Amino acid sequence: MIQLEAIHKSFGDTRVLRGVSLSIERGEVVCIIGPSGSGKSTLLRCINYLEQPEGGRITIDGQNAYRDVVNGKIKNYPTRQIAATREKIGMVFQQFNLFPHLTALQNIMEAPRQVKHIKKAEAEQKARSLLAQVGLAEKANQYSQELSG
Amino acid sequence: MERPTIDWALVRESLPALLEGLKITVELTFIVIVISLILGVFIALGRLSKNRALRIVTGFYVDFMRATPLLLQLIYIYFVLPTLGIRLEPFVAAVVGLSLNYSAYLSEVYRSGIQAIPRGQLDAAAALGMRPSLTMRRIILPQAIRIVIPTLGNYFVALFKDTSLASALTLQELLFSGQIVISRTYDYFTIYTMVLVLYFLVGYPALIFVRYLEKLTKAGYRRRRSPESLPLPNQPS
Repeated sequence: MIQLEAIHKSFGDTRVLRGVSLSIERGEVVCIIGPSGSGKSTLLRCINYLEQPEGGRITIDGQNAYRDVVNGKIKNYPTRQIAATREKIGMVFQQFNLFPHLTALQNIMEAPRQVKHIKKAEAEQKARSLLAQVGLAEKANQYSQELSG
Repeated sequence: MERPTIDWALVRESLPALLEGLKITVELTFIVIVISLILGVFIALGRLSKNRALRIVTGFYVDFMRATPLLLQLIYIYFVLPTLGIRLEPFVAAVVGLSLNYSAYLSEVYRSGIQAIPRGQLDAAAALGMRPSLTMRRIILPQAIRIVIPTLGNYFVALFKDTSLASALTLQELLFSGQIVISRTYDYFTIYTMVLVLYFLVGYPALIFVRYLEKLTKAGYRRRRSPESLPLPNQPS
């Protein structure tokens, strides 16, 4: 379960999120809809801490996900721990942000190989089957720039 | 006044000595570029570090190297350090001086490459659970180095020429080898022309190679052709 409580986030003088709260149950599919510039992406980026909100609480399965508040001061968890939490959160970016120096196959294998230390053969097999699922099997060795949206 | 002429007998006689000098020049260039290419990465990382003290120290180092003449840096290492009890051979002094200077310049090149990587790449790596060091090693540096290869190539050629400054340290590289022959024969015209031609014969192909690298990196990322992925039919090449 993911819970956001009173999330505040500003960029300079622009207050983007003003106390957003939200609770998402396991298996639930939630759509966030709003006009351009209303903070949808910012809210999503807060969920895996690509943006650090100035105030509020983010919990996953009841645990503080990225930080504690100690004596009224925000204290981030160690980088290692934040990375470990992000590892379990999937995210698709607006601009995709594929790695241009890697092929489609290598793009998919990068995180399993480097972050989860899965063996190469296993990671490749999984990656190829994922590509096949979305009909991109024959594009495995193309660089991401050569793929269309 | 008599028109100067090339003394071909002297050319033949002095060529072996000059080629020996050219060999030192080329050796010096390769040793220094390897050291500087490695050292430069670490200095660049220092300048972009989260650690403020590290940023200040590396920043000052780079500024100091860029704000003082390379010739003076070499002279200082060879002639002044001995008064502090550090005595270096001419070749070693040249390696140390040129490496210190070039790693400062190359670190700036790397830094520009690292900073040219779009923010989204960092976000993507972070979202996958990669830590900053892994992100740097696997995502940022491989892309940054591709961007800066042509610039690094140009510095490589510049270094080849700058090794001539080591002649001031009595290192018998190409230029100083020529000067030694001149001190005996006083034939400035023949010898300095030979030195010029020898530099050009190495420097020009190097420049052509750098131009080729520029073209190669501009072409961007090409499809990798591994045995199991033979060209598909109707594939635009």
